[in-house]
Amino acid sequence: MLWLKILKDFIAILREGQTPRQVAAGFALGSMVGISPVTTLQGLLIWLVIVLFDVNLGAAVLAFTLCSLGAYLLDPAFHWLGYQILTGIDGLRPLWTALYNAPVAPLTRFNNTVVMGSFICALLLALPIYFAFKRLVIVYRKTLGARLEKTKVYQVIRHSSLVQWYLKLRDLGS
Amino acid sequence: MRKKFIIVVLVPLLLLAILLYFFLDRWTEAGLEYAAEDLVGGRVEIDNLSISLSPLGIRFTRLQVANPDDPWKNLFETGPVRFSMDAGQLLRGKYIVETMEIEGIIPGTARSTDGSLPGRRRTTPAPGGTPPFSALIEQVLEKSVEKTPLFDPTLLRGTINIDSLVRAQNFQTLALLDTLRAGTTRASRSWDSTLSSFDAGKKRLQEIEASVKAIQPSELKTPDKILSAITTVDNAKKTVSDLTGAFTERQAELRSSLQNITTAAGTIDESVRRDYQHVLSLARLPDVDAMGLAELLLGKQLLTKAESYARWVDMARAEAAKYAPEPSMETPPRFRGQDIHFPAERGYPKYWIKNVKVSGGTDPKQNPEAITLRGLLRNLSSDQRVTGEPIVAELDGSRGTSMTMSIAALIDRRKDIPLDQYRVEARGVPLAAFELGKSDFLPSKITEAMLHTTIAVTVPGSSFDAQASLDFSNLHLEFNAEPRNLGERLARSILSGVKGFDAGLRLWKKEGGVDVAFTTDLDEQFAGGITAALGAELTKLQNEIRAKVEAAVAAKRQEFEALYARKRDEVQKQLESYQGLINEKTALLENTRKDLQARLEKQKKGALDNLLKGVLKK
Repeated sequence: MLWLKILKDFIAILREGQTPRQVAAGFALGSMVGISPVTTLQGLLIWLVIVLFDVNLGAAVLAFTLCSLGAYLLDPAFHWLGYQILTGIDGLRPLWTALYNAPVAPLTRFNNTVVMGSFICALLLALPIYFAFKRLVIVYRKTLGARLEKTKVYQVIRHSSLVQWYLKLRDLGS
Repeated sequence: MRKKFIIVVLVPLLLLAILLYFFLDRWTEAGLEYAAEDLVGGRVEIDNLSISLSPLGIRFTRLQVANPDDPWKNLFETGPVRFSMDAGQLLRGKYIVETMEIEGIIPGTARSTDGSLPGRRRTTPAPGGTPPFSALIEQVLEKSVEKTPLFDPTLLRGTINIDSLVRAQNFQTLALLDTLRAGTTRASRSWDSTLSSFDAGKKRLQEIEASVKAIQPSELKTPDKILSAITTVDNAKKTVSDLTGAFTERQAELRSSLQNITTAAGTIDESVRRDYQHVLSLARLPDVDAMGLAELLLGKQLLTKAESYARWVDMARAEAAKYAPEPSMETPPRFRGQDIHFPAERGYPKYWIKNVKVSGGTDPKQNPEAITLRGLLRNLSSDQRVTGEPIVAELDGSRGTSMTMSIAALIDRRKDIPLDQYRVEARGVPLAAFELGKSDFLPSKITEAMLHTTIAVTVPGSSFDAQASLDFSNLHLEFNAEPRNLGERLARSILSGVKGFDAGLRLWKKEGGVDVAFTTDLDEQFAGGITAALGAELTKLQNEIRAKVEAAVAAKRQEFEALYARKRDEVQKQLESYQGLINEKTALLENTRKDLQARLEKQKKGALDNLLKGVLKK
């Protein structure tokens, strides 16, 4: 039922609640921690930003879940990118050496190829994801939502015995 | 900002911080005590620990470490202790202490509470799976108990059953004689075969003799006949010469074979001597030249002390091994990636206390025999290869004005083979009670003495070499019992007149165990006394043992010697006979040839005279 719940939550996020900016910011930040390995200082800081600021938590968790699953497939690419950044650019070498010898920087694990590659990707993708998701929320709320609800596929899924059974179970305790 | 988050997360965090502020000191104190108790095996108490954040450091007013072997005493207690840590390195997970200051350290203070920890006694496994040094010394100690030699003539006579000792032995000499006998029998077969080959030669010589004797030079009237006879003799000479060559060659072989057995037979006496020495060692008769008085008097006590010191060495080595860098446990990540390492400006190990300054003692105004201590421990670290520095400890102390002590240690783990060096020097140590002797030899104790001692221990890898020298002076002895035998009487009379002596101990690991050597300047005096009093009886006993050993091998020796002599004589007789025959025939041939030559000359001269006469007549 995980995919059903994800789908339902996703639609709920798109349809109601916080502003499109909050939802998009939550999704963008969640995607950043989802793409990068979790046990880093920057990962902790992003989570802190997510819980401290009024961004959509559901969107952040959803983005984290989706991106974590997808990041497995991209790990070799992250490794390659991180390796090129850490070793292939001579001009950056003094910076990495200075960070390597600095007190706190090693806690970011910046010298790991996968951490570096995935974090760079996460940074580059953060803004496009933010704007794209913001646009998606706006469009969904204005037109796409109503249209989607009228589609046969939505109706079939909405009225399927499986979904009905799930909704009954879900609402049993409330 | 989420207000709920502030309430749900930040407020509890704040409460936790307040809790930590009030209880962190106590928790840290308890944690340090527990860790130290695990290390020492006795109770460790820290008083009034406080943590400061700027600069980041810890201080406490007192530390007591109970002696696990004597829980009502402390190994030491200290006054104020303080140290600060490198906050920058702490953020990188490194515990770097520049200087730790320990003041008011006093060893061996009395405790008001029991310092034992039932069920939490520490164990000191030796590094690298080798047995601990203390266990090796314990083995030597156990062996030394069995080695007291016998001294009293009556005791000697009553205790030693020479006959049974001799009967029970498998003497090497008997085995040697068996081997020699078998070798002689085997060789004699070869000799017989060689000698029988001479028979053909003898026959040929006889034929030559007959043919030569048949020549009668006086009856040979013509030169042709004389020349023919000379040719026969020359041919016979050649044959004899060939036979002589063959004989010489075989004779050399036979004599060499005989010489081999003679040489082997020459080792019989040495073998008998070795068998005698073996029986002598089993009889445990004292060797007057090397009495080993040092071992008898001091061996057990020194080894017991060495064993207790070895426990500390074991502990130091076990703890040093603990701080060897260990690979941290890895949780498999979704994709490992690769860590790229950049030049480290300054590498730091996990733990590094660069300097520990120790000072302390008791108040000399209150006690003239006050203790003073001052020392330094440098570079206590979790990885010496990173720091590039070995652990170095130096401690100097004194008690009153007469006693001084210094301890130095070096624990080096920078290379593949670890190296430890320890040196302890103590001067003017008053001895109130120091056990001497053994339960079965002159049990006694030094009731008053002054001791100067130096102990040096080197431990490279799993080996070790320890040397200790003890110099006793102003000696007063108390004997626990009346002397029970001559040895004890002698030792007592010598020791009674001695006011001081030197003793030495060397303990070193060799292949297959530990070796130990004791020395003392008393040995010479004692050896003299033993020689005078015990020498005659000892010599008699030794001679008796020698005679018994010789008797045990005599029959077989006689049998071998008779066989060998018979065979040797036979061979020599045969060789001499054949040689004589050859000489005789050679002489005969020479004489015959001379006669023939003379006859020929005469014939030549007669013919010439006749020719001359014929010419003159014409």
